[in-house]
Amino acid sequence: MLLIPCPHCGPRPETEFVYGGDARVKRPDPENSTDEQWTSYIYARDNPKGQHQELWLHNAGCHLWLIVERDTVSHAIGSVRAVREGQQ
Amino acid sequence: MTTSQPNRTTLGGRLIDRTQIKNFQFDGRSIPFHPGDSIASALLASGRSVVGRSFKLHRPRGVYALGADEPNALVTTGSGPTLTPNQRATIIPVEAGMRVAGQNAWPNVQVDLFGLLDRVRPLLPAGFYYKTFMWPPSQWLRYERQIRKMAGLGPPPTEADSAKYAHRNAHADVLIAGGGPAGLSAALAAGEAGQDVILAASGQALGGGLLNQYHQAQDAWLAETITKLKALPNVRIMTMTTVVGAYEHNLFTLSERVVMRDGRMEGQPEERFWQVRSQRLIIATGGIERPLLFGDNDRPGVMLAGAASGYIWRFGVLAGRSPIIAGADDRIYKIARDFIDAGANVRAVIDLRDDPGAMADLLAADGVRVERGAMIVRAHGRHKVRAAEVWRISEAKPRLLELISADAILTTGGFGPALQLHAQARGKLSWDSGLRAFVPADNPDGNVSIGGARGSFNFELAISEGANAGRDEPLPTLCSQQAPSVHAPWDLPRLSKRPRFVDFQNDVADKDIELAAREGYRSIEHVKRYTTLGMGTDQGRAAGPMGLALLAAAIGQEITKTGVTTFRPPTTPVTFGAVAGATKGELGHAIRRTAADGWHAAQGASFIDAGLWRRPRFYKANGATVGEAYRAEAKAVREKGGMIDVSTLGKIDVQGPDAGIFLDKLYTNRISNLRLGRGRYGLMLREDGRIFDDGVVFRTGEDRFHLSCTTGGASAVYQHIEYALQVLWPSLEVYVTPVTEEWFAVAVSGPRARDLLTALLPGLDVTNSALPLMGMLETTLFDQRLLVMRISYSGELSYEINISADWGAALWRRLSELASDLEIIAYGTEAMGALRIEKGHITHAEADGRTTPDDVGLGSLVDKKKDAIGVRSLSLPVFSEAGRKQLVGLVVDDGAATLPIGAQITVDDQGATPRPSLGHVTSWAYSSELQRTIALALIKDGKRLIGERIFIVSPVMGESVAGKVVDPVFIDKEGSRLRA
Ligand SMILES: [Zn+2]
Repeated sequence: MLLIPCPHCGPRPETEFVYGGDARVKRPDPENSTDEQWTSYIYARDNPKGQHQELWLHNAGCHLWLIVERDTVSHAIGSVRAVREGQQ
Repeated sequence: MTTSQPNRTTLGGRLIDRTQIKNFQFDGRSIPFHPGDSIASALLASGRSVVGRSFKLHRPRGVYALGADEPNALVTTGSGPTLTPNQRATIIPVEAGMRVAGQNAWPNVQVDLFGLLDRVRPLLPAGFYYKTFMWPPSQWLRYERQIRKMAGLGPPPTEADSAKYAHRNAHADVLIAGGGPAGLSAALAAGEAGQDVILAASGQALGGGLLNQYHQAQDAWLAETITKLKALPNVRIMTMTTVVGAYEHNLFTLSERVVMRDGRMEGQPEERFWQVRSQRLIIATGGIERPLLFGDNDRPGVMLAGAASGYIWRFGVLAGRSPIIAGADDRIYKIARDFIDAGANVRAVIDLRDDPGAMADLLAADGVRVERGAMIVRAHGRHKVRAAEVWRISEAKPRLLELISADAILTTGGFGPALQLHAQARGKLSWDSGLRAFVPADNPDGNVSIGGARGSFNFELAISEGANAGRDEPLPTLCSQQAPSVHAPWDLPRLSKRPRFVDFQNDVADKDIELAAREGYRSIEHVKRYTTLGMGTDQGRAAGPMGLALLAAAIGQEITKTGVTTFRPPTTPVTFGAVAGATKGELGHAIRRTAADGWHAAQGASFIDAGLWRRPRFYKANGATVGEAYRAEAKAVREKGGMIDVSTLGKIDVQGPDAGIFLDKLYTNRISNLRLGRGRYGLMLREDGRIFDDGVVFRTGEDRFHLSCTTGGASAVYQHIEYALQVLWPSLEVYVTPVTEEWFAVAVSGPRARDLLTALLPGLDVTNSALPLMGMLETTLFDQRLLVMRISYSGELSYEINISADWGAALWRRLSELASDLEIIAYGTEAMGALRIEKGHITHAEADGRTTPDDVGLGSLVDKKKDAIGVRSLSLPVFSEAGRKQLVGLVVDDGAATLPIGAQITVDDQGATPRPSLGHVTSWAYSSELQRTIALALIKDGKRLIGERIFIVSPVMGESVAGKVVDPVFIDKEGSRLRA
């Protein structure tokens, strides 16, 4: 079971979190996107072996959505930060 | 008493207390034992050879091994509420008065009538059941029931388990799995370095393999090390504890059996299930002894040689009084001397090697028969070994030497490392050609294997590796300690037609693996499932490597290419009770109760789970059955009025200067233009255009909104909202708080609803102009803030009254008192369901994760002029194609028919099958108002089919009901009652 270091709450077990998918996927402008671009945003996901940037919600904790760097092979976790931090 | 323990010897017995003799029951007979015995050692001491029957062929089986690798001696302990099947007799300490039963036999293991199956063994090859009983499909259930009865393990308990189980959590710097020399040495080094250490040892005593032998210097080291460890406060020693699982980020699970020495203390659990997060794991789980392969190698009396000498030194038990010992390394001579010292008459030592050297010569010089370049070809004897067929194989043509009589055949093919934890921790393996075994090839996440678990089957190596590992220093390079012997334990000529079993528990013989190879199986994972190789409780500890080697040989492949099967937790069986711990019965899952739960229970509510909540489904006063009750309740709501506890609906408070803009992005319709104190029904979509949730939004302040959502969707909706806010639109200034628990809510519905509201709040203007549909009033009751929202789910004049949850019980009680004068009753979710079906309102049965707003007739709620989650997807061509399923209503010809569960809709119910399904019934009820059965359904192009005849069918149940497609709103299409 993963141990995810929440920047707000400290290291917490995976069961407190909800997985939110690939953090690199960005929502395209719905007005100016083709059907292909839009469906790719909804359905197409990479399945990388190794480093991955993932969204995790600390659901049983502070309710922050986090960007977690995780190695999909070793499960090693790199940086963890709140999504909001980078964007505001 | 010694007469009843014919195989007890005065030598050894370091784990037992010979001064005491107690008794337990095996298959109804009293068997003596010494405290410290395992069930297996006590049975062996009493001369009991047959202790179980095999899974498929019901062949008699005896004790074979010493520990968790035991494939045969599975027993059932206890009875009634303490009955526990499939326990390995080799690891369960026997307790006075314990009731133990052999398994998988009728009437008992000695005289098993199903044993006749073995006579037809050639007819029962691998995959027999798959090949034979699959047709016709309608008969499979019948075959399966019979097969289950005959092939099986212990009986399942029929009563609730009376034992207590506990869960524990711990943290450590170092967790050490294994209490042998390597593990002890590691624990001492880590402990002396000041680390927090947990040492988990599977047995009752520390020492591991050292307990299976006598060695003065090593025994002294063991005693001294244990003394030092016990003096270290930072070392926790846990006996009867096995590390069963290795998970990500060094979380480990441990299964601890609490041993009753002198009666278990009141309230003490039988087992504890531990979760340990440790910086490091040191794997010191030792090796697994491998047998030699020969015909009828499963007969009672055939045992692993190392295990057999372990029984002497641990328990003072002779596995045979006149044994034959066979193998291909010098240990067989040491084991022969153990038996001789213990008073046995060793009939012969059979060495596969042509020229074994000095140890063989010395033993022969002492007058023991030693056969070099020879092997055992088959065992004779059915319920007990009588003799061994010994052949000379060193010459060009193998020849029978002699049928040597013996009461036990003890074989060893050396050891392989116990790889379970290493592999579970995603460690890699490499093939060691000297050991003829897979060995750990890396240290996954820094978790290191030492001693036998690494392939170092040598005391000095084990303790030096332990010391290094304990201090977190690198280990010396692994070098194979022995040159490969001439014969691998599985690579022996087949000189007998008798089956050579690879997996005893599942009756898998070498021929079954060869058959699988001939039939085209190449992957060991497929062969495992086809033959059931290694799928028993011993988890293929002994069978696995041999099975791999045989498959590799059968398909002419290198064993390294064949690979190994995946190792999954647990390494050894864990009882369900231990996994469940205290979370059973009432504590099985949390129950959320509304503030009025006590009233509901007192009034005879029958409850139903709604997520974690429990809600009244109906009140028993309104009918003897759920059907009667909901019809009466729904009728009352339509004719007079009803009240229902709706506190479980999710409620979310949204505030901030950008709240309106934000909600426009969450809901398909516009929310930002709501007037203060007004509400609107809103739909939320997933980004792929499917309906996610629905509910009513009220504007309770200039920058503040009160959202409601479905009971089941509440937590997912909140996560979704936080995602939208934090990930998609982080620049908006909005604050979101889930407030479901803060409010108690009751919906009052029906023609007399306004009368009840007036009675509750005398003097308050609740006329249509003051409180119109989708309007809201704020007032006080009991000095508390009270929100009255005029919304309706039932289709009647209806108010939802909200108050602080602390005052919910009081509000409900007041309302129910006032309601009785008006003949307004409390109703449950079943009646609510019938009322909403009459109105064509959707729930998750219709918004099933596939439907769009258009599909369920709510397309008008989508404002395409603004961006909201999911709206862009609705313009994808797929959603406007013909043939989409649409929400319709159904009525049936036979007005009161009940509809089959999971019913499909077809145009016809005659003629050829399969008939294409147009769709399915999503919900149905008996409408008290229309006095007929009505249903909602999702049907292909349903809106065009209104008026058409259809059949509601269940091919599974063999049912068919004729009916007609109608509009999904059955009553009050204009909504005049809502506005009354
Ligand atoms: Zn947190």
